[in-house]
Amino acid sequence: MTGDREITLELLLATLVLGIVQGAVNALLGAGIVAVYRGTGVINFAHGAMAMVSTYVFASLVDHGAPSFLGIPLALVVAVLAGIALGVAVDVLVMRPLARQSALVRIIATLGVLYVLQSLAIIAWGGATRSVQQIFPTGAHAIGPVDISDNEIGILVVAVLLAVLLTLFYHRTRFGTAIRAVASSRDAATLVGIRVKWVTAASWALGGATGAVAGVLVAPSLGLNSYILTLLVIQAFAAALTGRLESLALALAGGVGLGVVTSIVSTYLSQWLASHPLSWINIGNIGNGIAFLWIIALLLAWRRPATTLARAEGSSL
Amino acid sequence: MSTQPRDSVDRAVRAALIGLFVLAALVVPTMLSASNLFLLSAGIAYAVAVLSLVVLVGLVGQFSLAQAAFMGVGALTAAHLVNDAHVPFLLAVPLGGLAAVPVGMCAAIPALRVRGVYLAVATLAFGQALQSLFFQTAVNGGSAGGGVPLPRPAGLGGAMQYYWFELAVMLGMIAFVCMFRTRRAGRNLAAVRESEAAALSVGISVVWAKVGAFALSAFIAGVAGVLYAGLNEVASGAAFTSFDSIGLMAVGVIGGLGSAAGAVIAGVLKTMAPVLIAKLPGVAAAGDLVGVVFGVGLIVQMVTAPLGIASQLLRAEQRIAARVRVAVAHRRAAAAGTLEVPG
Repeated sequence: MTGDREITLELLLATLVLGIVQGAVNALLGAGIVAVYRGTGVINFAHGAMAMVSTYVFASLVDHGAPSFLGIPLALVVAVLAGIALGVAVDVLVMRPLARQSALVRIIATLGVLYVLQSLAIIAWGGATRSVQQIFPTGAHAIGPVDISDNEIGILVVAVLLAVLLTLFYHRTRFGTAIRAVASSRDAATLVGIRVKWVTAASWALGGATGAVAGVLVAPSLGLNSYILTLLVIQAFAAALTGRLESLALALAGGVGLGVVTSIVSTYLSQWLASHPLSWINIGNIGNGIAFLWIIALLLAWRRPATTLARAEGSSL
Repeated sequence: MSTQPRDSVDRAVRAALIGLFVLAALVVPTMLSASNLFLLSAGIAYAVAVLSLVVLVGLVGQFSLAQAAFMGVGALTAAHLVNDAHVPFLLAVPLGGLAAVPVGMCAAIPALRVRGVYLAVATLAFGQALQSLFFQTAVNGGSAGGGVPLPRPAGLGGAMQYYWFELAVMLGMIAFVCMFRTRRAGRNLAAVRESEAAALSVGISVVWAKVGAFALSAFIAGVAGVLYAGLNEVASGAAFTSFDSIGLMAVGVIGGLGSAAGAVIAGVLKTMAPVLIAKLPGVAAAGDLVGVVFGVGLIVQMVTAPLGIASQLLRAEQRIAARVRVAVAHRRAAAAGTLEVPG
């Protein structure tokens, strides 16, 4: 009896750790979506695809190997630079020609970017899933009854650090304030001498860079192909929407919350299903269902939804 | 969407163009090779799928990235009905569409509070959840993409016969959507698209307009899925991924999501463009280059002409109508014996 309970506690803790780490990944990717949205008002569907391409750059460099001692940090730097270049390229080649169109048109254009990057990745690197070397050492620490790997600790630290640094950047630096000014009014920002073009380019660069970091961190555990990271944008949206696409702290909390819920549900459901096998549902993929419910719950719970309908209702009250 | 014929000349030109299109749709396939006929048939199925997007984007101004999932629900339902329950194929086509309706209404839940892009995010998540949770399970043929067999009845067994059948279904769907657009319900949707506040103020239920549009859209997409699966004689969940939804949006934008003509152009483009791309010098196989072309095409279309290829077609139609008007005026003037010709 006691043995049973210990195993259960162990399982619960392991499930929690797994969920928190997966959640940190959601939040890492979500941070890039927030960065682009804050600076440009565009919800970037291609964020996962951009992260995927940067991660392929990293993996290819590690393969064609400089010595791994210096090679991996160097490959990470190049991957981040590739992410920045990709972000700026999207801004200059796609967003600027659409500057006079509505935000919705620019957002649909990011679907085009997603489609192009995903297809190009298959052409350039093939369709098979490949493994990626992790940037942190492969050790592990026992915390209570659960083992936590260095990689998992690394992901957690980077996710928290990124949220803190970006929040400080937006609120404590001149450039961050300029970004917030552009977000609140493009015209007013132009009038006080802010270079709007620089702000949008920097926001896309920030999105690309954080995406590259997120991709490189998560690829060792997920595997790398053209679609896993590309579709992880859904979980990233769920995290970012928790902070209404603005608050990085809430995005982090939301990402971790989603990760923990997903991990708990899938662990215990699959345990239960071991004795009640179902042939019509793939419980292993419950994460996507939970992400959808998470997004729905958020959208329905928004007290001030961004619709003209709500405004019309509000004014009639 | 200001494409409704205004007078008898407009109507005559429109009728002539539709006649030409139907003639081409009847004659061209008889000249195609077997593989190209297959691609054209797939294009017709996709045209119906894009038509389901036209209902959402063109009529009511909502976005969906779950259309391929609705197709999958229709296709898999029909396959199980035909294969397991021995329901006749012809009955399974509308039943597959109906099965997608409640699913589409679930996808519309966020439309109760938000619009536009947030809806797109939610529908992407919804489609992906359907795909990963249900489409590749043991019941539906496993993850290897085996799928569920969907045999066609004797009368529709041949490639050409099935093409005629698909064409008839597509034309029926288009006729229905065009009629629906000018009826009260269709005009309510247009009102919601233009201004939700104004629609609300004249007593239109914005929520039901959106949910209804999603239901209709899911039905059409479900039928498209059955058509596509019937063509392959197997309903495979692997054919209805989120990337397929995004691909439908891309070709839809290129073709034009404001009109049924745009849907037909988009569907045919989706399957026939790869044939042309493969013929380009230096291209061994079209393969994934197609995704690049459609992705770039989507972006370029957004920059140059957000209304798609169909808008150019409509402009050409208006030019023809203008010429006809001048010709008619000439003839009337001549008949009346006047020398001065108006216009």
